[in-house]
Amino acid sequence: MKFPTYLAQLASAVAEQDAGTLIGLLQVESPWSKELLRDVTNPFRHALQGFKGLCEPPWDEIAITHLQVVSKATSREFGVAYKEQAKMIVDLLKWFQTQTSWFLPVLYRVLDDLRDLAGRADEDVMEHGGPSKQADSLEDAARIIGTCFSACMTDRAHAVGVSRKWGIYYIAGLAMKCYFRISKTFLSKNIIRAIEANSDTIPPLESYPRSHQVTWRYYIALLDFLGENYDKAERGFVSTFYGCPFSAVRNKELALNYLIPIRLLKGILPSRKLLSRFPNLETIYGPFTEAIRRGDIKEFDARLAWAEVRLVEAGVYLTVERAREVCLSRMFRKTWLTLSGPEPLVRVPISSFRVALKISGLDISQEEVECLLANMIYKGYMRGYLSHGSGLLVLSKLDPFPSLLTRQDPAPL
Amino acid sequence: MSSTTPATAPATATEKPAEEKKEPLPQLGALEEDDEFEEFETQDWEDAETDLAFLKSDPGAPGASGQPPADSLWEENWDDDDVDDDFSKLLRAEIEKTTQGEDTTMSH
Repeated sequence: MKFPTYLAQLASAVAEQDAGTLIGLLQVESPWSKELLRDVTNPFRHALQGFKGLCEPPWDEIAITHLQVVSKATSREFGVAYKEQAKMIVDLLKWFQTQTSWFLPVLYRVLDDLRDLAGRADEDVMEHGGPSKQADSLEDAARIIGTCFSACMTDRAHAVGVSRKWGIYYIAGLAMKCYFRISKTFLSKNIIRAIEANSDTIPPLESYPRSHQVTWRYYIALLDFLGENYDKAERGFVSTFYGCPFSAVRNKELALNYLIPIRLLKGILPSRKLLSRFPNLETIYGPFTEAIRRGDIKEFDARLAWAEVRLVEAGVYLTVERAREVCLSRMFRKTWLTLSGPEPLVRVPISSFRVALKISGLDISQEEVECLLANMIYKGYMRGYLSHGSGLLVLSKLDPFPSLLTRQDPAPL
Repeated sequence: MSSTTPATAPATATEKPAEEKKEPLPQLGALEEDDEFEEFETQDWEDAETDLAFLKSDPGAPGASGQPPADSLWEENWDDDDVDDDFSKLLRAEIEKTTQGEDTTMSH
């Protein structure tokens, strides 16, 4: 495709508001872009200046810049390609701010490409770059994505049906992906604040396409998880997991990767049916689930060491480690059940818990056992008191091991 | 992923369980997977394409209580009351041993 043809197609797609064609014309990897690169003998910016003015600005400049992107991406100069793509989007923005929602699908694709190129540029710098070069493309991309987010948020001219506000959550999701990639999650505050502050003028989240909703909820839940707001995070991951289509296996797996440890802490176990659908998760969480179910603290500890690397990688090691307490409480319950006759035992020698711990591979002193038991009582896993003088745990006659679901945590996380 | 050792199979009750030396499990290696939430194939989809049908039986759902349906994805009431498993047998045997040994010193 010769450059004038490309310009003409671009101009007509803009005039007709044909988002589908525009996506093809502006995506880095598309048949059009390949043809364009093949047929333009001299794709350099200075050689194309003569074409300026052949179509309405900013599309002449955008066309020239797009060709730079395609040419640099093809020669795997991702740093340069990224900068050109960033320039193209900045050139687009002023024009975009006069448009309705029709252009959003195109904006999504050029921003996807921006993020992709930024990621590749950063990888390049990290692999080959000298000390003077910094891998800062993704952070820069996040900034540009933030500007596009604002350009959607500030649409006050158009009716709600065609408002650019329909782009808010998709673009916010893209920004989140950048922030997490560069481990600067605090940057998400601005976007979250903007959404909260404008909640009265933004359509409700439920009215957005499901892909936008689910992605946004996932990242908010992830932030809640990192802030140890486990109850909020749980609700977020629940709606992410249930709301994802079956085809999005990996996304469902990601939500469960956090949801399962949060729920283990509350004594809610993933069923075998659930785990069997996600073999990767079954490998990791199946053993922990079974260990908790049986109160097998020895198995739990062995599995914690076994899975440490994987759990740290998945960002859930500390949460799973906390669930050890649930397992321990089940072990104490089992000890009590085993020693009870037809009548439930009320006075249990502390030494028998010590024996139980010992056969589980935990050889600790009587004082340490008392300490563990006191902690269990404090945290509501068991009801009763310790009689230090007589070396007994005196359990409540009524429901000495309350259901994990009704347990009140005195110091919730 | 290669299949790993099944979760269960604790050693059957042995005579000297406290000294039992089980080979430690080899550590699971890192996957180095991309943990980014993936782009969806379509923008929108129907309830029938999701797990939303299970949501009403989710432990977190308002009003979800009592008996969860048999096909529930989560288990809330699972307390293990089996006192004839290896742990319980071992515990009884060990406690018997200690009390026998301490019979003379332990007062009731």
